[in-house]
Amino acid sequence: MNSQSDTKLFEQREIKGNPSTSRITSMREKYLSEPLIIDSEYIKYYTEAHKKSDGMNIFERRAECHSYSIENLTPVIREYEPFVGSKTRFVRGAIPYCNYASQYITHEFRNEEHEAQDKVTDLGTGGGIAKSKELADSGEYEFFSEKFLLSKEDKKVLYDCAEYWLGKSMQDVGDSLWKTSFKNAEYIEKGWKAVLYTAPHDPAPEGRYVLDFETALNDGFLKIVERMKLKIRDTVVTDYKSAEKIYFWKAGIRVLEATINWANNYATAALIETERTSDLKRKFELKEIAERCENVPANPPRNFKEAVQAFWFIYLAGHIEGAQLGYSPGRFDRYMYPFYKKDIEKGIITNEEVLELLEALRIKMTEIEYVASFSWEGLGSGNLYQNMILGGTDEHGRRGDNELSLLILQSAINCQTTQPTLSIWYDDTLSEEFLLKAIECVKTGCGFPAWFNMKIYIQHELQKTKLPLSIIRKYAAMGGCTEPTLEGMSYGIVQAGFINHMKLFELAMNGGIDPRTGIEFDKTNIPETYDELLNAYKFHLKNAISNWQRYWNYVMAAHRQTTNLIYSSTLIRDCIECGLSLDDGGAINNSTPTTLSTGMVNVANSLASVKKIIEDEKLCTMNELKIACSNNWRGFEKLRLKALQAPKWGNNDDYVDKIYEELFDVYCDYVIQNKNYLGEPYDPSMLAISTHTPFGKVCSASPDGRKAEEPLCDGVTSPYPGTDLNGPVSVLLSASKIDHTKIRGGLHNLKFHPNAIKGIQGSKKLLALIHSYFGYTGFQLQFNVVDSNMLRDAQEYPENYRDLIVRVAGFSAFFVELSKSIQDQVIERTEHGL
Amino acid sequence: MIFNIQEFAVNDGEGIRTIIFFKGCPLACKWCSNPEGQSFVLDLFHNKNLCQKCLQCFKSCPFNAVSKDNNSYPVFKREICCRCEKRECINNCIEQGLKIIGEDISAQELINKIITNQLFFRNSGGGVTFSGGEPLSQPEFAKELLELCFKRGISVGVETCGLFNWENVKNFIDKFEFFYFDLKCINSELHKSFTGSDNKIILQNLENLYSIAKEKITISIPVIPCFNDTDVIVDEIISYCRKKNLINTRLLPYHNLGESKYSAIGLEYKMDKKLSISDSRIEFIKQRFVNADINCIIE
Repeated sequence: MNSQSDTKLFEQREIKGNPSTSRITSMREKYLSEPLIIDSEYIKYYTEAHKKSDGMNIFERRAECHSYSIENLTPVIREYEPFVGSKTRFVRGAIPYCNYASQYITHEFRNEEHEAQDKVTDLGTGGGIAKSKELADSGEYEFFSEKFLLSKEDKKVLYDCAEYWLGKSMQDVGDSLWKTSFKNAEYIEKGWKAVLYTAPHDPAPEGRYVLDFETALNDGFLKIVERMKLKIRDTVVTDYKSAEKIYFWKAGIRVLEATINWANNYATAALIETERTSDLKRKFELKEIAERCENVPANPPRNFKEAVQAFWFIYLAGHIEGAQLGYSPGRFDRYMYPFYKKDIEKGIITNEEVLELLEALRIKMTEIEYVASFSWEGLGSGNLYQNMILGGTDEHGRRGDNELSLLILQSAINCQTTQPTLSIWYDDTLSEEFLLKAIECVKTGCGFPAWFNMKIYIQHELQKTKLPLSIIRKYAAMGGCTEPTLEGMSYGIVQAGFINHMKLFELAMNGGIDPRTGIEFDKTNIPETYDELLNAYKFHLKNAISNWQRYWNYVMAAHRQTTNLIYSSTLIRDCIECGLSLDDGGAINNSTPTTLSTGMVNVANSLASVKKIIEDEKLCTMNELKIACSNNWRGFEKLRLKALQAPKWGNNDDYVDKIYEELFDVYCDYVIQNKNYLGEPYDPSMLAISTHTPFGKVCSASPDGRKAEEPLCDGVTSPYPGTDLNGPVSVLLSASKIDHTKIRGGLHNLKFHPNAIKGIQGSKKLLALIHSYFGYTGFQLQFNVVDSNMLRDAQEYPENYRDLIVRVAGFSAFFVELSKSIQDQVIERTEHGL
Repeated sequence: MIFNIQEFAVNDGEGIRTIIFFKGCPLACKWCSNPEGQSFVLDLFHNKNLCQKCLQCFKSCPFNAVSKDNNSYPVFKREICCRCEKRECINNCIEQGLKIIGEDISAQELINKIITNQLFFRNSGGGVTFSGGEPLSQPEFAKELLELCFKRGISVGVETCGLFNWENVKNFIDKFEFFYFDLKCINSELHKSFTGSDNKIILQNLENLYSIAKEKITISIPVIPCFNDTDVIVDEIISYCRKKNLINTRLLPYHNLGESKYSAIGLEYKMDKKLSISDSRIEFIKQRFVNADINCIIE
């Protein structure tokens, strides 16, 4: 029973926060009113430097181009900021990284279609995107990639840069390698046309790692530079390998010194700003900011405020060097805690001041935008997947939450922004206060923190790496939406993109031919029985995975040539020690690259349907079922009814769950059979970001009863919307049947009506639910606590919901900035609790 | 016979609980939000929102139990439908707008389902709650399931309307961990007019239960506008509770979320659709209980 009154249209969220100070309110309002803009400044300098550095060693050249650019960037100081540093000149600016890929930009300028996937991609239209459109229509700007503003001046710069980088960008260098020498190159191109694979993500391939903030903060850049100088002094060149090391260290020194100069530019700008402002309080604050920018990141921070400024510089510089997605701050509450504790004990900072800084940090992180190909913007819903993970344990297995963790959660409750997404490393030792605060944050409806089972990840790494347990415990972090990584010691450039499981199922049904495009992949017999179908699916799965992985290794070779990350290499252990960049295997953990896929639940449900309808009940033949699917069930409505009634994943029903388990195991086995560019086996992973929508759009109706073009399941273990009929416990019991230690990453969405977990009793029930699921082998849980009727209202009246945040996949987003199809998906997820 | 199993229930006891809804109830409260739980036989449930008036049910029924109304919606002869085993109408409804409510399931089958949730119970201090319908109207089934749970260390509570045969339950009723015992009003005539039955047996059962399990009883009071939400009736309940030393109560404010289910199973919703009860009124009533030193919560 429940007490919902019939007069209300929908139930409000139980918890609603407000920024803790007027300064934060102003910063947030400013952010919410800004359009998205392309800023060509960085790429202009980068291109200039590139033209001048022909003939340099590849490490030095890469370092020189980035260093020259970052040293010349305009230091922007905004009115309210308590600490400074901006990726671009605009609040919501994006850098077009032509050095990674420029084809998509030239195509955009020429109004040409870029990729097959574009046709099935939706972008959002509300919020800041609407604002961009409005300004574009006014004539001063052009509209770029259906989302960004581009000024006339920037357009000219960008046009020239894009033309210059044709043939030189990472994508072009890669293409000219794999397209001419990879024997299965044709398969990849077919895969893109059929949307078996996501479009190439060369425009934004970096990310999914965390820098070694601990060393960077505690030592300061000057000390790290000194370390590299000593290395150079102590090295005798005997062969090309030792010579390459010298080049790498020299490049590293150049980049770190440039980053110090960049920070110093902010010091100068802050002093100039001091002259301009008449507000005495702000004058004083700007002077302090200038002092901080002179000291960090060159030297270790002297207090917490300076540590926040240092963190921001260190973090942001990495964000500028590469086209990042999923680049993350890691375990902020661990490495920042000593600075916090010292200041609190000395009485030189209050929790209120810390909270304000943390709230400002949320806005600064949300400001960063990226521009990539149209397809990838649709797939990522424009999100950067910066993931801050809290809690966990220390190296001894003792609880890792502290007072700072609580303040970080509070800052997210108070200052609702999409970034950074918060996560919890769940462990039984965590304090009740911390866990309940995390639930309170979930109840704001923003979709985070997401919950991750630390024990499972530890088991995964113990099986894979030879690293000691204490190291894994201490540095376990999240790099990107739901993929764990070891902080400060892992390489992250992870994967070629996503594989569409439903498309593979279609290939299996149709003898290797894609029914939508007629493209022929590997030929297989048309199946007549369940076993034949399953085997054909496995065959196509194996080929698709192996081709995809091998293709990416070619791209990585081009990456080393063109866009090797030097700055990040200096801040990942043990690159400096070994004298090797990330692309040469300098990181301690190189087994990080994953292979991603979407839609396996639909395949399992479809196979269960085939088994039920064709094998058990003998209602029709495989061929009839195939015809029914290709007719989108028209004229086969009764058969569709049977298909819908067949067992579905998410109801704790072994009939279908066993099939899913088998597929899951097979997938994991296939993925680890190939090695990544750094010589380690690929790691299996499954998630969705927003791929389930375009992937579904290119697939005909499937035997699970799904109609043509409808989206696929999101996540690894989330049931298909509306097919989980027994409630959340059964859903989780199904999900806990697979061995989550086999994969790195994965996600599971649950949606609750606010009434279902109301009050402290409700919070405790939700905690018990998480605790229990993690007591099995469950890995991840995330929640949308929102009344679906409220989301429908937001679709109708977006202007009333500018700041409404919801969980999509491994990330949260402003609801009104999502594409309509993704909005519908979130609404249609089964809502538990009424 | 049961008609639903609900996981992760919200307001039906401690922790994460699985609710077993027993089918069949000796009362017929006008405001009942689970009308499909009232009859002791199967119900055919027709969802008009999904119905496309294709009349496949009409065409496929082997017993001519389906006809059409003026708007071309199907009408069912439910006394035939509740005994039908062919269920052609359901098999032919491509919109999935028809279903049978009620399932004869053995206690053994049920316990097999229930134990899969054990870790969730253990971690939350939860368990199983029998609800309905009236669970104690099926004493043998209730007893068997209760004992299967009890043997496995799973806590079982019960929500009862109070109208049952004490003789049939007295040898096991003390095994329940808690009782949500309905008390709708004290006046027997009024009780009869709104629930179809007087409350003599109910009050007697409450006294019997009190004598063996007083600490385990929480009195559940559905607060229904134009029935028992007046000061006079509330005060009668309060003084009864005081007199009998029943100090734990909970209020269940009226809602009409069950309304659409009435027509779906061929019943008529007899409550006035405009009725509602305000939060402030509920709060006021709660305060009266609290002032009388009775614990009271609002669900």
